Amino acid sequence: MIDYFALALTHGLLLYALIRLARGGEAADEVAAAFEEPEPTETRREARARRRLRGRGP
Amino acid sequence: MLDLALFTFVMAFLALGFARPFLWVLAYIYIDILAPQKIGWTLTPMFSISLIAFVAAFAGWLATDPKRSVRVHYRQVLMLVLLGWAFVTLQWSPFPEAAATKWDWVWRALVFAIFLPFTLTTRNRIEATVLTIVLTAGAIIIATGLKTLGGGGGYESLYFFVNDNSNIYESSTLATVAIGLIPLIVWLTRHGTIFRPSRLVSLFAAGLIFACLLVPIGTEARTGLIAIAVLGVLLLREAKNRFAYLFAAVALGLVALPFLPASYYERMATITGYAGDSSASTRLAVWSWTMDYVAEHPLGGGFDIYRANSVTYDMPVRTVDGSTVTIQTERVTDEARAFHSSYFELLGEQGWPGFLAWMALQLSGLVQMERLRRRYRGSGGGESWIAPLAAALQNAHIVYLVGAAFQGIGYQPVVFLFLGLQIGLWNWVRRYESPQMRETGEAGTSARTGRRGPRSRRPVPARAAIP
Repeated sequence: MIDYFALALTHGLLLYALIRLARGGEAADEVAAAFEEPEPTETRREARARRRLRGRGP
Repeated sequence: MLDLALFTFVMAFLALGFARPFLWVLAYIYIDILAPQKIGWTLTPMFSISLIAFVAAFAGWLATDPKRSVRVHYRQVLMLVLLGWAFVTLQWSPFPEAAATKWDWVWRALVFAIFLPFTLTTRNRIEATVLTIVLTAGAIIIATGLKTLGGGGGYESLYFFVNDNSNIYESSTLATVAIGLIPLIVWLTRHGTIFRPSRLVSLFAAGLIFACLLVPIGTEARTGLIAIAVLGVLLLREAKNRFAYLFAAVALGLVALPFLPASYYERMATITGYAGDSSASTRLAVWSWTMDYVAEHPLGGGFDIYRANSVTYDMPVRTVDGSTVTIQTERVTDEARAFHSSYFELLGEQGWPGFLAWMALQLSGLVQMERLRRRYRGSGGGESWIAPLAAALQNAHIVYLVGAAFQGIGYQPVVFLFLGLQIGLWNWVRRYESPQMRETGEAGTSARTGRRGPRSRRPVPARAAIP
């Protein structure tokens, strides 16, 4: 009985958290938003090209 | 019914991963800690759910996660070195079958710990990982705590969901992990965003912490008592009013004393009277054997090399004659005694190369978390969670390192998850402080006030910056 209680309690909380994370809906806007990694402003290749161009400047 | 419920939960967990593939990473962590396939008896063991989650976690990351900011950290390289070296020593193990059994779970724990930091790209992923570890281990801890409260505890007589001493289902390991989790529970209660701070959350956390403290009592694991003492000292560091903290700790201890069973006192008394304890005599003899072994085999003997040992020691024999208790020593020869210490486990199994890599991995974690703790101490707004999490991970790590001195848990998967979390947090801060993030105005800006945070007011010299 104790085992069932412990499993039910923790799994209920875990399921709630997982659904919040998975839905990314109204209640979890900030959670879902944080999952989207901010895109870097430029790729490594672009940064290399920019540095190269700067080196060739007057 | 339980089998069906667990199976349905695991399937739901995996299904949710299709919405957010990162959840497969959490699914593997859940399965790795709780081992539902061992709790169930028909449905859950039918499928290799651990393998499915393992593959899904990797595939999900490969297919959907952005990889632009992925960088390999030197601590991941250390784990890779340890993994590679363990595979090398496996080749000359004199006990290939036993060594292969251990290798089977060690490589998975190490590979997953190397992989985990790549997925921890946001604060919420870090929090979700901590929450999954706490709630999954919490299931075992709450059950153990309640059984202890009901008088069902006792050394080697407490029944868990799984009773094969695997992973954290070993009493001393569970006691150490339970105490190590307390700082992380406190952090979730104060800084959680999935379960925001509230009275209900605090109530649950208080109950869970109480259950954590009951685990060493229920299992009568001596390491657990040492872990509580170590954590008590570590928390003193963070206490605002140290005198009040000390007073409360002593008062709590005194109040708890009358409720502890007599068998607990007897077992704990053997911590100081080690000379009268056969378990301690065996340990000292095995550690001495390990030092001799590694002197002859500096490259280690591979997994489970302790099976080669034969130790002779003086075992104390207790004789009770009326009111007189006599302790006499008897010469005993024992074979294949386990290391009972992670440090000697690593030294004997992986020799000096593996031991040094393992030690470097552990010590660098403590140093990194200390640097983050100091750097963000007193930060407000959007940075307020960083220093407390670094401190919590460091405290959990120290509790483990002290507990590891008395038990062979050198490759404990839960602890490797802590190491993965440390690297993930370190990488996150490095990205947070990167010029790109600063350009977008997200780094160093207090979310509440919109002002630059304390870090930006105190310019950090280039040498001290996070590499």
